[in-house]
Amino acid sequence: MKIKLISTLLLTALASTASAATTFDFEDPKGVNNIRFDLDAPLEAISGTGNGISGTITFDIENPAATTGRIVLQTASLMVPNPSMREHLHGSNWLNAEANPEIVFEAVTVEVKAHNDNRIDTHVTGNLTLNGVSREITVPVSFTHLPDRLADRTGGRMQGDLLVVRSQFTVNRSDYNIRKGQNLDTVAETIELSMAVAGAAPR
Amino acid sequence: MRAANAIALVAALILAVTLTVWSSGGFHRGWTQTQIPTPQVDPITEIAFVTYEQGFVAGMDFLLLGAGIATALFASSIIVTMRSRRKVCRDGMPRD
Repeated sequence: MKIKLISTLLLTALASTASAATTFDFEDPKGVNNIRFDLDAPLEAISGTGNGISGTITFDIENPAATTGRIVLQTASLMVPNPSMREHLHGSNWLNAEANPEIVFEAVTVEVKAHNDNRIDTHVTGNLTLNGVSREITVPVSFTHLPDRLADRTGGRMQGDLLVVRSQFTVNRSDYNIRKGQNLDTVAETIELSMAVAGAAPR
Repeated sequence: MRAANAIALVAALILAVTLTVWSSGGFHRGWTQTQIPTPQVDPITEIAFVTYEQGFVAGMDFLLLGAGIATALFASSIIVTMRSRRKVCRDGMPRD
């Protein structure tokens, strides 16, 4: 009887360890989470950021290959310092923020490349929806797990973990029907994207 | 001739104001900015991010526009001067 009870307890403990996946919320009231974009151009590179980020990622430090989730960026949150450039960027000829209010990346598979303590380097294959066009891409993504650091970020108001997700990759604007074959002399075909976001999992 | 001088003076003023505004923004060689980016780093996550503040930094587009208007006005003042000189030659009397 005792053996049965102990083995049941052990199995329960193992099962709870195995399913230690945590869901991190990437809604960030501090406005730190951002995606930076750079396009080469003759006078100066067109650089801007977008910080209207939301989404969730379910992550398990012991089983990062099982990571799932999606990150959403509000198209209207994309900002460049020049006012007419900003107008063009949000306008119907470029990203059409009114018709395509969200830019979404949804992870499908995760391949772990390196695992060093709390940092995991992966290649994530998923669907990127931009300008209303969805394409499957594979991008390098690093996950940094910061256990018990949510309190530091919230001034002690909340306890929990943080997950920092970083990625740098390029996309071709013609792949997403953004002025396909047009303005190539003034704006580069390649868009360099750099994402740095932190999600919170309160306890 | 007085009209030509006035146009040339306006052109010089526009050029001076353009150069002053451009230099006050640190001779910015990019596009004009109305949202000024400030790079920041979150101390907990070490995420680099940018905040924007309302402001005005004149860029090359502002400089070219100002210089273009000034050049056009200078050219107009020269045309006005030449026309009035031609009239002086034809009539034998100066006219403004």
